[in-house]
Amino acid sequence: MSLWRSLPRWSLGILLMLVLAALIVPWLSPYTYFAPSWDEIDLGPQWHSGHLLGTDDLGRDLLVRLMWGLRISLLVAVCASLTSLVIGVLWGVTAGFIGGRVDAWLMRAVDVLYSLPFIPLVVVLTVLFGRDLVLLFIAIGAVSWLDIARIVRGQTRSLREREFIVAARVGGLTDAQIIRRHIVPNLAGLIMVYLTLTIPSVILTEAFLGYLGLGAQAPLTSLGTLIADGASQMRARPRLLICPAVLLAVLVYCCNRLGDALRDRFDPASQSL
Amino acid sequence: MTTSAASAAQPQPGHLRRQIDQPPRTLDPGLSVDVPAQRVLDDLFEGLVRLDAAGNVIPAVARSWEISADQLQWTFHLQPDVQWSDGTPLTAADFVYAWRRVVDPATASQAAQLLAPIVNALQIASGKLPPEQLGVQAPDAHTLVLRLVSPTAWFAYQLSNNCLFPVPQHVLRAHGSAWTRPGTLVSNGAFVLTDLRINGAIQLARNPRYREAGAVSLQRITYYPVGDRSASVSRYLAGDLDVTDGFPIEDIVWLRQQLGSQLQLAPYLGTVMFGMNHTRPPFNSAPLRMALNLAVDRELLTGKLLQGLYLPAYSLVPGDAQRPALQPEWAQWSDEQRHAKARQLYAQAGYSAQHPLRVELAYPTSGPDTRRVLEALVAMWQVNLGAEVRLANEEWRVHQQNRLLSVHQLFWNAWIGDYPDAQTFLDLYRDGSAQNHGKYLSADYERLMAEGVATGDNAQRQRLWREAEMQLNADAAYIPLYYYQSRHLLRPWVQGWQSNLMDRHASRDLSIAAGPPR
Amino acid sequence: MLRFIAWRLLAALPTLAVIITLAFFLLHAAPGGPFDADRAMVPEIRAVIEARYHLDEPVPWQYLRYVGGIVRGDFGPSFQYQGVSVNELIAQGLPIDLTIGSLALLLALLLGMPLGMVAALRRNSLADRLCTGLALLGLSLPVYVTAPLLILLFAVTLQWLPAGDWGEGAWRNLVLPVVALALPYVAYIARLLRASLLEVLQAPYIRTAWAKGLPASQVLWRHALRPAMLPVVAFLGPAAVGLITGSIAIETSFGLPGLGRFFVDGAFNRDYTLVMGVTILYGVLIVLANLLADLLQAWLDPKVRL
Repeated sequence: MSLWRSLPRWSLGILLMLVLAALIVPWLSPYTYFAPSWDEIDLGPQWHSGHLLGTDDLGRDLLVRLMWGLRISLLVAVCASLTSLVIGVLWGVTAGFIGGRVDAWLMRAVDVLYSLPFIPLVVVLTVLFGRDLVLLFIAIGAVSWLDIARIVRGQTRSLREREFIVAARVGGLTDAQIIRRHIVPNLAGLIMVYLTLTIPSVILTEAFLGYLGLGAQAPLTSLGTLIADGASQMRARPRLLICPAVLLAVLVYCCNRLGDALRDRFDPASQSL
Repeated sequence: MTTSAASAAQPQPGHLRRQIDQPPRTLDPGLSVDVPAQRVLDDLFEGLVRLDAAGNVIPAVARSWEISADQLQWTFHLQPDVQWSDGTPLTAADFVYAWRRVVDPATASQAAQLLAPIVNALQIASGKLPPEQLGVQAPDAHTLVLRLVSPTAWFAYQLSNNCLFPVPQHVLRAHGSAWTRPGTLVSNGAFVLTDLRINGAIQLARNPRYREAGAVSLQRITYYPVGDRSASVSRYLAGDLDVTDGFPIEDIVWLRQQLGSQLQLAPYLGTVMFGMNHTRPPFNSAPLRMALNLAVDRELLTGKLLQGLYLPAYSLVPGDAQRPALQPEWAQWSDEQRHAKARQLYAQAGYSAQHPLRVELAYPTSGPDTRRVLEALVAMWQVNLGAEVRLANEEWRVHQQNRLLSVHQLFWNAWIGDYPDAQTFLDLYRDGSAQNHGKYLSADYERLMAEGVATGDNAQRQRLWREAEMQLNADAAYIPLYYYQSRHLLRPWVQGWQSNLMDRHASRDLSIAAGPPR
Repeated sequence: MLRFIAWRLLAALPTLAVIITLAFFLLHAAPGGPFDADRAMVPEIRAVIEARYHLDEPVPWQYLRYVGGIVRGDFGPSFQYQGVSVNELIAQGLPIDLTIGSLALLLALLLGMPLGMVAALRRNSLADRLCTGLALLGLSLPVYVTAPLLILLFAVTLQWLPAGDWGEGAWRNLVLPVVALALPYVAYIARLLRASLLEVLQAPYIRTAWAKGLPASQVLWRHALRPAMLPVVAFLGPAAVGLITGSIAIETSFGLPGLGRFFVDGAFNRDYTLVMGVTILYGVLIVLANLLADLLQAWLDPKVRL
């Protein structure tokens, strides 16, 4: 079955739509995400003024804020996932390819780090590094690479013994060339799977940090910050909680579905979540 | 949905359940400086004087006192037969011991500078004199003589502060720093401590040995530390709390509809303002400071955004029953007039659309309330002046540290008065004050303040305070935003509660009405 | 087996060492100290306080002092709560976390396993889609969203359950926190069991059992479930991690005096010793959970050698 056919249509479609909306809607809408509008506080959804989801308690359009929040969450998620991917792949390939004592030490380190309570450390890291969005990516990415490292290492090890690698070695290719030309492309499928699965967990981590008050700098917002704000106004304006929560749930759901399908396709023997 | 919920809750007879925002860091009255601890301590202990429900100073352990002609010596006559909760008699020596302990550097109490008006207090705290030199003596078991550095009328109020409560010497000598545990804590107030869980409920029970035990109608009090305002409202609505210490701003309209008179809003002695660093550009320019000040639409902020929760502030010191807050003449101008003047000053300071002001506003992480106000302000400055102010959120500790080190150019600041006199606010801007983060300095101001502190005539002192405040306003030393109001949710069956300026509500004045809520 | 346990505990020491060192130096690198306040302190008093808590010493020295204390089992005094030691705070908070965490795990198993089994047995049917859909939903909603919603529904509107507080562990106070914490784990367990059961059901010996005519319940319970549980058991380790972090949000939303709240408050207030103590404890719990998971796996699957 081709790759395209194996993917869940709905999830993929919704994801693409969300990404598109995040890019286009703020551009199309006459409202900004930061300018308060005193006369438009607390409006419900209405068509004529263009406030499709209504406004928040500062009179800002909720839809635009949601889309900005989605942008930031996606940005953090993708960057953090890429960071964790880079670290994880480098680590795993090195361990798997070189083998021997290097492998043992590197994987030992992974075991040790696996037992670290990560979220608490991320909290400390963000408290330390403050509001810088870039450092936020790196902090979240730095705590998410362990699974990828393990999987990549396992795959690299099994690849290393395969015939075409042996042939390549005999044919005179250097290690670096082997890695570049043969190992990494064969990891592509796996990488894609775990990228898609890391993104939702990173989004949730970032949302949690936003909830604790450690997220993006105001007036910029992320899904987590929107949810935290909404939860505190839950009784008076449930809309402010429900909209970002639904958006987050849909986003995570679709990413997970996509990741599951990709994993079924590329790594059906895997037993992980 | 919730109207039925609100009325389905029932009182627990004789048992008052109160919420505080944080667990008290300590229940040792001499060490404690935070408001949640003060609430609990007001129930556990009693000082020379106390505050009645309306916030007036009335006699407590001291039945009367005289002030000397030069206002520097105060003589207190204690009630006979006052006891600690374990039966030991309470004497003037317990006060002397407690106060010496607070200023003793070995105790390392953060409350030490609240005793500054007492002779030798600051010298003892900095280690230059031994604690025995503190200006307080107990000539006999029921008399206390206090000597002050200068005439300080408001010190009568300060005597009700927890750092001036007596402590049981015999218990401290026996148990050391563990004396505040339930079971060993001995107190002299209307209630005793029966159970304490850090971050969990604090249980108090009626003290039968209290001086006026007959006047206390509550049998039990439970304090719940609930950090999240929204969660505390949930607990209140669910019937788990009788009184909350606040509610979120966002809920105010909805709460008003659902709970009506259970919402208590009253003026509070606190001001929120922005500070600016006067020693460096850009805020060493007075026209710029004034421009930013004028460009703030306070009525809009407090009326529309804050829904009347806070009061607009045009000057530093909040008003009270005796005297309204100061308003400079431009407070009466129309918006257009004010904005025009602001733009003129902004241009005078050298800024324009091509060359706008670009500066960071530092503020501490404290939840959605503050953040929204600041977002609105940034928009106001953008629209009214063309200034580009960027928000820089800092975590609480970082912000405090940076503020003390005068790192910020423009920063959020707030001050809750320690006592009901303008001096508690005006002291913030004196040269050398550790709270003078912006390093404001004015010779005229210093002169006015020095005169005010030295004079024994209260009317004269209040006049001088007014002049000093007007000096601050003329110099645009700060940008006042709004005055706090205390806010509580209060069940109708809680009786005896009165709003007062310092927001002190000792449980001994409260009672639970039996029967259905009225 | 005892050798195995001892070896694993010994091997956990480097982990703990890394945790302690990393957390210590990170915390001390964060700007702001535990005794900064709105009101500036008299400098001499500040000096006394800092000396008392050894904050005036160079950081590496403080580190050695701290490690020396740990080795003796003394986690030091709390910086926020004067006169209280971290050992006491942990002793107070740990039972709460353990109670809620284990109840949540139990609930997750009780709900997740049937969901996973139904989904696997009726693969690709409506029931399957419903179960996996529900599971995924449980995953996608963070705890700090479901907790306020549960409070709103059950405590404020229906007034069936209290809105918060530990209440000495009364069962009524436990219901909402445990349910809120368990929901994502119902999802994880259901998904895991479904995937693993599907695979096990393809195995030849299961086919043999079908062919022999054994009733479905026997096939399932006696032959398929035990090996299928392996990944679920392996999940116990990461589950412990997740339950711990989930407990932070739960304790904040419900006002429970557990370790999670101590941790967050401590981090914000720079209560170094408390944060360190809780972090170390988390590390220990994770190591123990992983150990338990491995032991259970060995018991379930004789092929797994310790």
